[in-house]
Amino acid sequence: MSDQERFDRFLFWLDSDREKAAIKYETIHRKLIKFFTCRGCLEVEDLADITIARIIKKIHKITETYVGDPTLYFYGVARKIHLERCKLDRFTNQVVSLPAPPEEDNSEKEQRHDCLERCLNKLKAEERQMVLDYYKGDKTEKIERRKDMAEERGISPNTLRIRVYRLRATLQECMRRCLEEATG
Amino acid sequence: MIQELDEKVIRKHLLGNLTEEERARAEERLFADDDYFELLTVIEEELIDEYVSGDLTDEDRKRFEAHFLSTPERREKLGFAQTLNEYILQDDVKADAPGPILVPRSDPTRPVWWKQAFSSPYSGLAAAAMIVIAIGVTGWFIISHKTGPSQGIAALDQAYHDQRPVESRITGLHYAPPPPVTRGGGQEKFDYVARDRAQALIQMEAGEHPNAQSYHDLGRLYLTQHEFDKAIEQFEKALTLNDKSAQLHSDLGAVYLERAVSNADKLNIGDLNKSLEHLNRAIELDNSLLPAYFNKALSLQRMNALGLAREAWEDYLKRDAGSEWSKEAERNLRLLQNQGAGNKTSEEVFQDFLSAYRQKDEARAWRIQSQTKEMITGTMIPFQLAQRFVAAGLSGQTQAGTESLEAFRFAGALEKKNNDDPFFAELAEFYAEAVKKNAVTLKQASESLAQGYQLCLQGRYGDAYQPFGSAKDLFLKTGNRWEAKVVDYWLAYCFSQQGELKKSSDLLLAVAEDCRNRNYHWLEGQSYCWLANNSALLGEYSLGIEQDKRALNIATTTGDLYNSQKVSSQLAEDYKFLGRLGEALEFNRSSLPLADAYFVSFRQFWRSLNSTTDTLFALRQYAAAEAFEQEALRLATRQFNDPVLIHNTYVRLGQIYTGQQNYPAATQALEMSLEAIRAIGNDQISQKFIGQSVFQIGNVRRQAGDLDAALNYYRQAAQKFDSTEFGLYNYNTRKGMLLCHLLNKDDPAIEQELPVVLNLFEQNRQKIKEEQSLNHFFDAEQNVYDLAIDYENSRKNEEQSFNYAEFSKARSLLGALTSNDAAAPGAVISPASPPLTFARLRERPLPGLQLIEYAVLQSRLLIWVVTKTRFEVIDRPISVADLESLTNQYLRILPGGDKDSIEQERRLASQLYEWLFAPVEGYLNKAEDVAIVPDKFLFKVPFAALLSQETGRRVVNDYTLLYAPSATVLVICSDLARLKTQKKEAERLLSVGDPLFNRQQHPDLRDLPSAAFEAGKVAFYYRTRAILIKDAALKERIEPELTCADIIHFAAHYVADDFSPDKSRLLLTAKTSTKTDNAAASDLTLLEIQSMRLPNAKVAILSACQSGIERYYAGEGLIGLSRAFIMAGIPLVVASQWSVESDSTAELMIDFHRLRKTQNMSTTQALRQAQLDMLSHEDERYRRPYYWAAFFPIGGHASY
Repeated sequence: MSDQERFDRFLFWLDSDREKAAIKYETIHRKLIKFFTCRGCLEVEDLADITIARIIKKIHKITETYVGDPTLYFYGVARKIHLERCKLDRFTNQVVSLPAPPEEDNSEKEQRHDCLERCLNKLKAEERQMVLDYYKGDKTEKIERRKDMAEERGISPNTLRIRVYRLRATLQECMRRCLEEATG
Repeated sequence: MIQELDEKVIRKHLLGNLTEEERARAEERLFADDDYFELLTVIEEELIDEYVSGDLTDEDRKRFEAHFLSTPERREKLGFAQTLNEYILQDDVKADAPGPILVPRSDPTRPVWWKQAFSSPYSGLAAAAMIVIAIGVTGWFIISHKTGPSQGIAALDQAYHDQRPVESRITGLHYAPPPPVTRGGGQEKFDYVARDRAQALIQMEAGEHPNAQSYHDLGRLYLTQHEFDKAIEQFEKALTLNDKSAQLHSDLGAVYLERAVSNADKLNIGDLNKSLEHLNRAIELDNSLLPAYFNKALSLQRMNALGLAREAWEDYLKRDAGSEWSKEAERNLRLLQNQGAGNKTSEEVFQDFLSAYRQKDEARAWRIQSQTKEMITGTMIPFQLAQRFVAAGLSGQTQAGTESLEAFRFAGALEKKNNDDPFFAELAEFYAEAVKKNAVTLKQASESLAQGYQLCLQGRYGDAYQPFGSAKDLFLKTGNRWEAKVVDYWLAYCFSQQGELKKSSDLLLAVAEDCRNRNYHWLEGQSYCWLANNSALLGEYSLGIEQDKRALNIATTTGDLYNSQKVSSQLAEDYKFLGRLGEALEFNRSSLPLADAYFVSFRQFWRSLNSTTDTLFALRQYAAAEAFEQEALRLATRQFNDPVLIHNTYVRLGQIYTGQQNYPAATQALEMSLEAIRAIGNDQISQKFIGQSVFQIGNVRRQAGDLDAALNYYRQAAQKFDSTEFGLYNYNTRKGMLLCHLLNKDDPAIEQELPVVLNLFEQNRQKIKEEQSLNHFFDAEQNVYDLAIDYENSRKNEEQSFNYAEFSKARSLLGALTSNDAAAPGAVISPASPPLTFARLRERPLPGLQLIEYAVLQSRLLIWVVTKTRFEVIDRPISVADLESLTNQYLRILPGGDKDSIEQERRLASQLYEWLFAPVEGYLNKAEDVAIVPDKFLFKVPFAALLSQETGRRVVNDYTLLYAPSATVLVICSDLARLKTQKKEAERLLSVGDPLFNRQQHPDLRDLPSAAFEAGKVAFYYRTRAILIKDAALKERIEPELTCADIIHFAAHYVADDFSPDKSRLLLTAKTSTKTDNAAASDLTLLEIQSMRLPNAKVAILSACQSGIERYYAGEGLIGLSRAFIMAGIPLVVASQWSVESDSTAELMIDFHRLRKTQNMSTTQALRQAQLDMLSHEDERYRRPYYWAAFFPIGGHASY
């Protein structure tokens, strides 16, 4: 079986609809990254790729014998890979201390703020305001304000929470790219 | 569906704070559930934000830094969060305070932004700007550095100007009306701007100037926010710096009070106790501090100490007249004046009933009748009606007579209808006829009965015989067998009070028997209640509890509130005596009057108060105990003229003051108790009471260090008790004398007293039949044997010391093994014989076995080593507290798989090794097995895992271990094992795995797929086998197999019942036809297992969670599934000490059976080798003791 055939079979295993399978693939990949991150591993993206590659390699056998939710199969393989690969990480990275406060000069700081501002400006005005309002104030203020914000929008506080999180993720990704560009 | 619980789990997961098993569950969910995954990512960001804004607790912050930030990805996220935070702050400042603003320097190691407000000129400006926003005032610079606690508290005061946050009074805050609902759920009303300002000011002050005052302020802030635990933490911190602040104690009293009542369903008496302790201390330090007086009155009111609360409010009002606080105090006082037990006279009760009868309001009438069944005060409705009917007949008041008779018949009909008890209906019909010709006699009888009651109320039981006897004769003369029966009960009551317990019980049994035959439930319940009292006094505790429970059942089912409270008090007393304080407190709760009760008698209230006091005393909650007892004293002196009640109350107060080490007050209270009882005269009962007082004075003197005086009092008390049947008092008195002799180091006296005390101890022990109660009794009183062990050891009588250790261990198990056919024929122990002495043990050496026996004493650890050639005793100055603390630390750290936990596990295992195993190692031969007889909590120690720091080897590397409950049980089980030795090839296996238990009853338990695999796989090594897996694991199929199996293997869930260990059970497959409420019938309970006789079984392997130890008692040692199988006649059991991970257990168990069957190893050797195999497992995780050291063999030494 060729690599392409294996990959096709793999996607089919995830979902017979190829588009849905692609979405599932993405989700699983993110979950794998989160799994390895939570386990304190380094190079988490690589580990996620290795996990998927190992499954693709044995996809023929898996589809014949394994019955159940494919995502759980990924979990099982990820656990094995974690055992194999993270031992080394642990030994080499036993004492993880906080990085020292970055000795940023004002230009670096300004750069970060500029990027953030630029990214915020890419959001719709309403979304931008939502993010800024959501994170404004101290703990008590935040609680009250968020309650009000949810009420104003006629949504539950949890829905608001998820929406802001998604905006934040967008911002974070935007900022990462912005900083990469700035530093060349 | 994502729930709040999930959020908590996710937070813990992200902070690396889950156990292996929990983490696996969380990860599985992460993959299977997209919503869960998204929530995790959201919470991940929120955690970062909380860290940046300094909102994490110290512990979470540490974990965040150590665990969460261990990946580059997250450190990048942190950078983003910091930038966002700075940007937003800047954005805020731009909006609110135009002008150039410099962004504060980011420093993730100091995340609380206001803490760094003044650390640099630039950041100071920025932080100042932030605070401007936070507090919303324009003149920030005016307060800047000069901000002090007073401003924070002033802001707090302003915040709660319209309504105070809690019902209690917080120092520094002015009056505001109380919150509408004090026990949660009410709408809080406060000025949030002012409160935020207060929060900023107080928190900043605490950060900048950490001292007693700022911690105190912080505590007050948390108290207003109902964060009681945090408030307590801050107050306690302040207290360590300044314990002389009356205001601080007053506020601590307030917060404990608020926490005590925060759960409306379950008043926390422990917190109320602490509240009172601090409030009393506040008043001691400053007797003009009004908040302390206010809170104390409130605390007493919440405790239901109504009389004392009234006095406390009155006291408050003397000190504060005219303020708003005083108006509230007045309102509380008025409320209390309308409440309280016994607020209705017999006449009022009667009139209420009559009114209900006239209106034909059956429900109201029954409520009154069923709640007022107190005979001695003449309150009971039917008897009042009988007397009024007779009186009306004699005075010719026909109309009144007719109404009384009809009301009497109505009452009788109610009793018949509601309780199926014809007693009063029959009595009413009797009176309807008898009054025509016997009115005078009936009146005389009734008067004699009332006279008897009066004498009893005065404690003159001896004098009461005559009027009671006369009443009985007169009733019988008229044919009134019903009330004659009632008089019998009262005669028995007097016999009991006079110390004639047997005579009393005989009479009560006759009354109860007759009542049962005639369905007279009410009087039957009364009789059992007093029978129980007699049984307890005779030391027949189990019988007493059984009788009390019977009486309680009758009282509850018949709605007899008076009797149910009375019996509950008695039961609480019984359980307290047996050391079961949790159960005692439960009965205490049900014995206290209900808030909406129609009527509660003063006497009953007194009884309930005393019972509660006893429990609190045993729990060392003296302040609450004192409050309840003062309330009881108030009742006893003001409401009754009963010297016995007054005496009892003073004795209890004496005990409480002794507990508080207030010896002058204790002596004074006990002197008062003597004074009260001297009024009675000089009969036998007064001798008992005098003995009690004198015994307590002895205790006071002993604890005060005046041993000669103490001995003198004890001797006087012993003389009083020797002449009565009061065995328990006698035991306690002789124990007091022994303690004095020990403190005096008076050897001749000790040698004389020790056997007497131990003999009395054994006598008491033999009277307890119920096994659970027996274990508790031993648990509470084992220190008598500890004293004996310690004493003999100090005199170098090592053998005698060892003998006492044997006498103190596993006696219930020994009794069970020697009193049934479980023991081997011809065994060294004959039925019901005492434990083996050292001399007899030496006659029965066990080849190839060495013995280590431990005794954990108050301030030392003794270890005996018995080998073929040696008998050594090692005496180490290690206290029970230190050893227990180390053991618990070790057990807590065991499951942890992170680097720190692993290191700590090794460190603690080495420390335990140094204390427990290193001292004996020089005497041991590695080629022979080692039997360990632990003591107390040492049953929880996995000895195999202990680690020698010197060699780096665990005990399992060098020794094959076996546990035994006592050396005597070891010998019995070894004898039994010898009889069961047969060829291994012929062994028949019963293997049970992964039963399909009732899911509805145990929704939290998971399936055990590896258990089914394990059960099937281990069977592979046996030619003859019965494998019962999943739906085949039915009780009806397992039971017959148990009787013919040689080897039994269970891989199943085991569910412990904390309240009744004998109801703990192995979950088996639930039959589909079994109804939910009877689903437990499908399982095997501990009681069922230990009642079995399993003639063939040689070994049971219990591959279930904590199958070895469910709980341990100081005397009996471990109680659990393994012990039940030993009782059933299986000489050797392999069980576990903690909840074990399923996959590793399966692996260990399969390996164990393989080694046992294919390598010709004995059970103990095979287990050891399987554990060694885990120690070198390819999966590093499984090398940790958590995965293999839980399993241990227990029972006898066996060659198979």
